[in-house]
Amino acid sequence: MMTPTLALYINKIADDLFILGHRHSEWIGIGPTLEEDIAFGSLAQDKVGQSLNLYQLLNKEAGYVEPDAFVYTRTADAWRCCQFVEQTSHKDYAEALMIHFMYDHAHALRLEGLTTSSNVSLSNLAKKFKSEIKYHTFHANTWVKSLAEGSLEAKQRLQAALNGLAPYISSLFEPVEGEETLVAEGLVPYEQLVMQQWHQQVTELIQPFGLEIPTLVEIKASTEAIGGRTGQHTEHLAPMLHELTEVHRIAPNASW
Amino acid sequence: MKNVSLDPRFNRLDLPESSHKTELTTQDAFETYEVFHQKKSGAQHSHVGIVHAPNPELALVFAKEQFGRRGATTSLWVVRSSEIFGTLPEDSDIFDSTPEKLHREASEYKSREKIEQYTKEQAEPK
Repeated sequence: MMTPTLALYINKIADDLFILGHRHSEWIGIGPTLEEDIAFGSLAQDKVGQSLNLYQLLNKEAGYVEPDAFVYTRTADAWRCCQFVEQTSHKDYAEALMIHFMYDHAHALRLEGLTTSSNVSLSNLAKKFKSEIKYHTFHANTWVKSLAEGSLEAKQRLQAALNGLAPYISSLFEPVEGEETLVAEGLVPYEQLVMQQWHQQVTELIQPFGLEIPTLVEIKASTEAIGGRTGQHTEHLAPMLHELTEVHRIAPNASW
Repeated sequence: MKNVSLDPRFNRLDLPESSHKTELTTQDAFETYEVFHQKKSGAQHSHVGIVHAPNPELALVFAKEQFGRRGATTSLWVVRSSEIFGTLPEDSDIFDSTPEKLHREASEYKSREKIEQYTKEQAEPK
């Protein structure tokens, strides 16, 4: 059995993946092109699939309830996702793309750190997820490049989306309580380190196009979006949970 | 008339009234790219279809979604359709062969009996 602190860490990653996976799926049928509909559908399947693997691990090695019950019965305050992945205006593809771009670079770097975790189950899952996420970052990078090098309007909309998300960036790296013991035992990478690597990588990718993100100092100083790991969420999470649990609330014991 | 859908995602989009028309310009039409798919390392890339895309990089992303998701894939190529040189449909008769030159067709060479004879000889103990 794993410690409650490691379980909380895995819970945090799984919730980020599930919530963002669901957000991706919201573009099916209304994406900017038919192929992009399909792309967001498959990105969603990958992320929800990864979260399922992690929820199963929690069920097996940490005594959590089984994945469906865990996802469908929790109220917003019991979710451990960061506020960054909850964000949506429901109509801006540039925003959905920037969330996807920024989150997946953070996720890829974190997974890299987890491949050497002293918890074998976790390191095996991280190795398994890596190739999927390599495509997710490739997909995001390709779109960001194409739009940033496209019309002036496209570039301005990307920058506007980035500016809107800026206050939430720090939450991507919000640690769970007790992180230092996990790092000391070689179980997980240090979030501050992931944040530094992320900032360097994302800056190198978008700077050539003239897009700007806040400095590392500014990100570290912004704390208004911190709280997701302890159940404090923005107004976007509860309506989403309400919508995605609709069928489950009608027929809680239905099997699929 | 306001668009109202049973799907909450459509209602949240705040789409313009249904009488609103968008004029398409030629810039809105993406080029087509021919997609070539490789099943395993070392195998030939086979033509599998086309995708519409604004540039080669996105054509590759779309090709991955359309043709690389099901079944084994080791590599994909995309080629701008306009870069392909080919014969014209009305020239398909250049591939016809007159009946009296059947000696040019591989199918006209009957080797089955010779192969069977050879196999039989090899199998017989000396």
